[in-house]
Amino acid sequence: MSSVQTPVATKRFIVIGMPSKTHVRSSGEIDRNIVALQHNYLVSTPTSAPVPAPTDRAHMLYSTWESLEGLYELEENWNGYDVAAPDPDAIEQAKKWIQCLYEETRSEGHRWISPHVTANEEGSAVFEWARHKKRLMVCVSPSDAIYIKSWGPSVVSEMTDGEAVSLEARLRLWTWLLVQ
Amino acid sequence: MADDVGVSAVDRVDLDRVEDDETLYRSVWLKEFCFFLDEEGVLHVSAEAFADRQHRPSVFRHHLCDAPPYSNPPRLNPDNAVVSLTAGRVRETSPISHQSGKQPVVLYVIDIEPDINEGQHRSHAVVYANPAFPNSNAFAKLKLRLAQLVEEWTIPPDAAFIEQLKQQ
Repeated sequence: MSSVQTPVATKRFIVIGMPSKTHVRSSGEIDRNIVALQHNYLVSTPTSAPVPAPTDRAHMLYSTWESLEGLYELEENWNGYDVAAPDPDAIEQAKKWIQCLYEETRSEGHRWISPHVTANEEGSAVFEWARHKKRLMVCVSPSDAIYIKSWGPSVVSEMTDGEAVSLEARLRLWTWLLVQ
Repeated sequence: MADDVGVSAVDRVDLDRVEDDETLYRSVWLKEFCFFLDEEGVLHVSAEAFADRQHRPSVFRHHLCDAPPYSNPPRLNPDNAVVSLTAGRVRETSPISHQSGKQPVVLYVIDIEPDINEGQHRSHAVVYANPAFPNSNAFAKLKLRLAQLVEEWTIPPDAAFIEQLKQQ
């Protein structure tokens, strides 16, 4: 007898890491989480359980995980200039974000391209991809994820930015990156 | 040329203004967080190699460095790579438009100015936005464009480092 499969559509509407009651600190946070549930956003849960790490070296996320763990080693001014040390909450949130993206792209049958992992001046974790003329950056803070994509030399007409928190937004970015 | 007799390159440089044809250097820490290889093995400098908490990334003016690119500055550490940009092309990134939340779209003019405050070397300059970027989201656009404008690996990462990147 075959086991019962969880429908892909159901998986998409799981919101990872919703905080428990003990983590809710304000009505604003409650509102934010309700909106997140309604729109399937990835919400900030710095005190929730850590995302399980891929232990198999052959796993497509293994090197990304190692790089994210490496961010913990960086101290203030790590790039030789005036920057903050990576924020541990941002690193944990970035793990959730990249795992969501990985699962979503797999479920859609897209191929995977490992990101470059780094951090910005405020301590957010940053993913970067370069493919032909395209560059994609996603900055993940404890409370947000924003993207910048570029496909040519003009900042005005060939560079856009926006939020990268919803399933739809993540998949749109991935499709954009993969299309020739 | 006769006009140049007794006049050094440094003497000809305008200390108060960075000209469009000037070469600018950025020293980049030789770590995997600042460089990456794409699927085709092309080496890229990370946008975060230009990260700066004041949103004013430092660069060093070629003509005012002592013995570029190997002197310090522009090479701030003996292991660092050094990349170069042209001032005019940096200015051409203007305007950078950005909308923060529901605020109106703001156009940011990008410029470069000498910055020798607080004991900085005479070659030190900063890339800045006018008005100043309000947050790191707006600044990220400039960082990404600067990374794309890198014209030359003046001191490229060494072969051992590239090999290390390939293993990742």
